Amino acid sequence: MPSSRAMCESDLFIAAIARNITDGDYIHLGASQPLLWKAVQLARMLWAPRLQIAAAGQFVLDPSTTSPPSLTYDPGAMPGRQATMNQSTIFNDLRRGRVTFAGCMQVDRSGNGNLAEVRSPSGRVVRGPGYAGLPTLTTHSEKFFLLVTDHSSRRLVEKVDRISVLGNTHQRARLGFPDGLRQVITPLASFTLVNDALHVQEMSPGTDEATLAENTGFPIEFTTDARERPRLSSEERTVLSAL
Amino acid sequence: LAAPQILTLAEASRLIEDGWTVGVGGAIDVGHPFALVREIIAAGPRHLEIVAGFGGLDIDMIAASGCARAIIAAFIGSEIIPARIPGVQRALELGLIDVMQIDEGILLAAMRASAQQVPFTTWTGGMGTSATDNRLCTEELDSKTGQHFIRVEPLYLDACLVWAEAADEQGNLLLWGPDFGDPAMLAASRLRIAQVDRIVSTREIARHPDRVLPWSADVVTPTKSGTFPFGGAALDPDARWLGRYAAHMRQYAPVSDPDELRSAVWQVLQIPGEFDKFQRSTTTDARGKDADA
Repeated sequence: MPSSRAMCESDLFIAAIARNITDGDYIHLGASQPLLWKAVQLARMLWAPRLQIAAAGQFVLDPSTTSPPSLTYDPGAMPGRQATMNQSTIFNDLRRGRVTFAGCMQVDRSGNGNLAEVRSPSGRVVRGPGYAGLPTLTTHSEKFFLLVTDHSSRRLVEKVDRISVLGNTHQRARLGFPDGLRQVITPLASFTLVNDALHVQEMSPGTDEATLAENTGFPIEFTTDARERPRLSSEERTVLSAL
Repeated sequence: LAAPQILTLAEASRLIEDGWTVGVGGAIDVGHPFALVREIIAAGPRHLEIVAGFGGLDIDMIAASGCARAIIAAFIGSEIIPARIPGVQRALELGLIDVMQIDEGILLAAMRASAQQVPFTTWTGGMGTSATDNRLCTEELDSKTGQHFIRVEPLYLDACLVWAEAADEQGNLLLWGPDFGDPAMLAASRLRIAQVDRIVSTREIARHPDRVLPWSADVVTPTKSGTFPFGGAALDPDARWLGRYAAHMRQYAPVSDPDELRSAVWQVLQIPGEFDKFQRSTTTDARGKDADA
């Protein structure tokens, strides 16, 4: 079996992300998310031609006539932007929730994500890039996802060291927020919340329960409809090979 | 409103006083007023509190340089090189700085409260997360509606440094396009210092009305291609330079002497020395073309 890191780069992981994007979604593309850029392209070209895309610096009004930039504030792409996105007013409209895919250094069993900092067993604190705008972006969102590019017991933990994204259903309900976490997606599996605990909904081909248990820092449970992650279709393979 | 002062980099950097809270504009790999940042590192004010929305490796350099006692930022890092933030990490481990990681929405709210001169403002984004665990935020319950909210205290900035493509002698700024959140920072600041690629006439600025930020600088310092090594109107971010910076600083991960860490930053930034000489000697793939005003 390929290593988790190798699989992180795999097209199937990108497709697993893309398959959660539906036509007409208003997607917020964050910084440092090259796999998500590809997933958005895949979805747009195959089944979601009317995506609304907000990327730092620009809104993509008509994805069919321009490619979303692959770099935040890409100076080369900026002159061709279709609409300017100003960072200072980007959170003025939280009524229309954006679909958000939050990359995380850690995700815990109750569905909380962490991109701020991780404490190692030795006590050393490793800083991540920060909260960015994820806490605000996901507060009122009815559809968000957590992405973990390295499926390991260091990343999928019983309890995160810091909470950047509140996924916990019970806590969200207490605060009056919609139940927004749809999936936690890793190269090996996809999880969803059942009774406030992550359950495996999908496993990559070639991944078995023992492998998942070994690489996950909380007990593995399965949804009643858990299945193997569908392999790449020929259309998906064709598009991804061109990206 | 008085006309802004037009100063050199060195003159502008000397306006920053020890202990000030200073915002630094731009976002990730683009739009940082880096010539000014480099000059301030060289001038060596102490105990600054640095505020950034989406900070780049410029914030990492400040952290390692010993100028700052604290950093407040929603994000610090680079998108074009696979690096963490070696300067911040080491400065933290040596106890040189505190870092308040903050949600971007909360940061904008705190700066808005400063700009509007209110004792606090309210926000709901980030409730229930660790992003509210800082001196600016208190989670509260509205007795009338039963709605949970965050009480956000103002974040006052003594000064902010931003980059714009051009300015005129009235302090009107011509933005490159997207604003990086810099207008929120400018509005929250007492002293607004703009580094611009060039100074042009008001008539020329007015040819681009949708990119003009009127009367937004108290000090203007013209520096051609001054965002280098970060991207700007006429520059791509210099990935190779930024990669070399990160590799250089990683060599200093074991140091325990703050002066050694500062020396590492000075060495890579060629301090002391003029900015244009530093740029010419180290640039690798800057486009270096003039942008249209």
